[in-house]
Amino acid sequence: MIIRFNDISISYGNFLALNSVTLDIKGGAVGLLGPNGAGKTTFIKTLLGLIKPQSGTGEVFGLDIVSQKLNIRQKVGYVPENDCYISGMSGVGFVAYMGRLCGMPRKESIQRAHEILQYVRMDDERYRLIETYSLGMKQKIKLAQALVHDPELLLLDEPTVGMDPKGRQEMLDLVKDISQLKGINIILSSHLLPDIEYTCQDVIVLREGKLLISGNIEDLKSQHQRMFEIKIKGNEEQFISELVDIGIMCNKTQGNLLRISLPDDIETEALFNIAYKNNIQIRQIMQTKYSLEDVFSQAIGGE
Amino acid sequence: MTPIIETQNLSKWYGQIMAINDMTIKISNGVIGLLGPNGAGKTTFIKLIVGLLKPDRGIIKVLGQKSWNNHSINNRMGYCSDIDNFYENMTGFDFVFRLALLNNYKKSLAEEFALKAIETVEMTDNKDKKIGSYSKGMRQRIKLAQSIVHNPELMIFDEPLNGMDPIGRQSAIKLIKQLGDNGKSIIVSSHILHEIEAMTDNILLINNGRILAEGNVHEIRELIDRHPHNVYIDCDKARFLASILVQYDDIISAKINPEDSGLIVETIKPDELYSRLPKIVVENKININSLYSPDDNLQAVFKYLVG
Amino acid sequence: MPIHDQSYRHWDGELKSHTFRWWAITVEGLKVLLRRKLFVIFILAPAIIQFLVFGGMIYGVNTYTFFMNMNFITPEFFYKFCMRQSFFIALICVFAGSGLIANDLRSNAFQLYLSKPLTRLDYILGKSAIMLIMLGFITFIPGILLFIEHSVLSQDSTFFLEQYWIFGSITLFSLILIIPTMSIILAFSSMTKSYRYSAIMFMVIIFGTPVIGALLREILRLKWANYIQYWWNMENLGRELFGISNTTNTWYWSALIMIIITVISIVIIYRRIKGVDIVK
Repeated sequence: MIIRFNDISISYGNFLALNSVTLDIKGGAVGLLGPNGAGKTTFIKTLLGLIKPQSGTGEVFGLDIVSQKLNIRQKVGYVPENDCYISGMSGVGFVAYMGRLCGMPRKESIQRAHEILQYVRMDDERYRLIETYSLGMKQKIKLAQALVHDPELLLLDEPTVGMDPKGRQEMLDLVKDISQLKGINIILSSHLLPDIEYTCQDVIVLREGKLLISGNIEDLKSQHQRMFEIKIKGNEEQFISELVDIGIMCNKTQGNLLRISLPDDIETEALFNIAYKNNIQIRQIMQTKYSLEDVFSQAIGGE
Repeated sequence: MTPIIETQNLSKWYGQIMAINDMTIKISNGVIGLLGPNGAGKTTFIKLIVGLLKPDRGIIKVLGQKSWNNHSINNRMGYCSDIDNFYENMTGFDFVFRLALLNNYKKSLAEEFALKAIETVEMTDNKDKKIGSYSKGMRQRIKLAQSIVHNPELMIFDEPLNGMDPIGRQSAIKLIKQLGDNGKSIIVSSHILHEIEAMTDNILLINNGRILAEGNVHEIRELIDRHPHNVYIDCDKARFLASILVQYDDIISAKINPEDSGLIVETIKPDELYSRLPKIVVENKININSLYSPDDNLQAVFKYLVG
Repeated sequence: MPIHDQSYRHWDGELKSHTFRWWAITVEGLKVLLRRKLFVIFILAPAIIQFLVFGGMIYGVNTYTFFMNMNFITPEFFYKFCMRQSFFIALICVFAGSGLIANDLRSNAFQLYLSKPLTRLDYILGKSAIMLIMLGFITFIPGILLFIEHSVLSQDSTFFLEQYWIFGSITLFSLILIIPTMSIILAFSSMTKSYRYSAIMFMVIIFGTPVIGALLREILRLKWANYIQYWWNMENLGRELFGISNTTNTWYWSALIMIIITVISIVIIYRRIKGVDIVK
């Protein structure tokens, strides 16, 4: 159990940001989701010990969030969403400095900074001033400064925002590597559901300060047995009518996909029979699953 | 049909930096995804379309006229930029309303259009609150509202979904698709490839100030033949199917996936593979659980062309 | 294992204790400052040169018999040195101090600082120490060195025995010059994201108040107008400390004014830092 919240409530003046939130996070990689204003930012601030709850207790790694916040921060690395840096420093100087602020001795901070920058694949750019960095490099530096002191928990706030597809993939692969192969716990707050699906096993959904859902992503996505999405090339009407003839119901969706539901006694072979007979190509057969998006919309819409 | 945007040898540079390099293109209506890595020239291109920049060389014509310094076409365009700058003390409604007035509408008409635009972006409940109090997603919606309030023929959205939560993103994607279906022309610039895919199949991919590819993403994929098509087939007789398929010349490789019952086939002629597959399946009684091409998508196109 | 893992490795070294955590901020701040060549050449160097000039005067007085009979090196000599360095104190505050906190506010650096095991007090201490060291380097250190130089070189062996208290005066006066001034610039730096605004506000107090005070005194004949002038108060206190004051009892007011200014500044700094909202 790395994070434990017990009935935590936090308000800013009249606004209730977190409302009696009780949750247990056992570790691994957890996605943090919610509409804007749901309390995600407040949640992060609470983990970092920047806000004191009006009621309730919380622990991170067994340390109390009010009385032991410095010790908690020792074990946590934070990758902020916004642009942030310290002017006048080179990339490696900055990362080493952040290490020293965590109490690392000087020489170790420098050695460690270089090692981390190598890991996030930053080459000679590390010697340039941070102010001259492109967006992708700034994100890498933010990640590096969060890892320099070898934290046990990494908090990432929208780490891929504004990055081009290549940069996004690189960042997500790093997060995945850190989480799955290097054993560092991750909490990833993002609006991009595919990012969360790619990197996390569990997910927490907040809404209006309350915890809506928390659980394993795969479990939450229940499998719709025997529902398929098909893409064909050829005489579509013929295909559909022959499907109906053998008792398979069929809908056309956006993007020219056909959604069908196979009764228990019919296999996909039947589809290929029809295709063979009519010289039609079947180009895609995929069993549909609930996506994380469906889980999310149902959760939010259902309230 | 006259193209909505037409360029000829368009070039733009900033000092020594070449932002747009000899671009010649015709863009017709519908929804078009404008893609490219950071620094490719997308923002410069957009500013040239909207008339904020003047070409250094070549011509760019929007809606049939030159875009630079041309007020007559300004009210036929809607631009939602990626910059987040507002009059923080105005209410959302005020902002959209006043921008609508700039189109020379009567006050009552501007009000009506503003309310409609706000309703389209689902901000009716929050329209009378100050923009300074809005969350990022709400600010984004108001930005969208002001770009569509005057019902323009051409809309340009630069990273329109930035900061929105997943539900907001879905409704925005739906809105954009709908506008495209209604005959408007929309250019959407974004890095989030799967969202572009949900909006349209038509893309314009640029890099280093030049056009890499334009048109339907699947057609483009098929043309990238130095990267053979991967087709993933999950079936009960994977090895057997593999042995049949490799007999054909257009199949380059068939890889058995050790972890599941899947087979990945590489082919340089995907069309041929799909044509002969039903016969093979039926004659050999193979049961296929899933079949799809993992790289017949925008992400792959992007990766293969940009690198 | 012949092939070594090139990727991320864990680190389990020993951490240094928290008590001097703020020192890391100071060291880094001084390094960044000293990299600015214009600062070093046009501000630090002249300050040091002035010190060398005074040092030269002491040497000259003590070596050349022509000067020896003049009672040149008096307490007033050291007082004059400190007052002349105060010009550089102001310059250093403007160029080094105006952005110390303002730049961090502008570049959102607090998001980084406050997510580390660092208290707000650590931050303030670290930043203050930068100014203290920089300013002490051009007032306190050279002042003491001058005193020692004369004590050692002087033919008058009674100098040290009679005037040892000058040591204390130099120390105290340096602190009086440094602490309120640096508090003011840090307070302004914490109030804005732009180092230019904080520099301007600071210059209004430091260079503007003497002008305003003089105007009020001459035009409106206000007796207390002198207390508005920043440096006049300093001079008041300095003269008292070095035993050369000519008016009586007014140094109390100057001390009070300086204390009030310092306290207000510290309160401002603390409240501004406390209120930084780091995560949006």
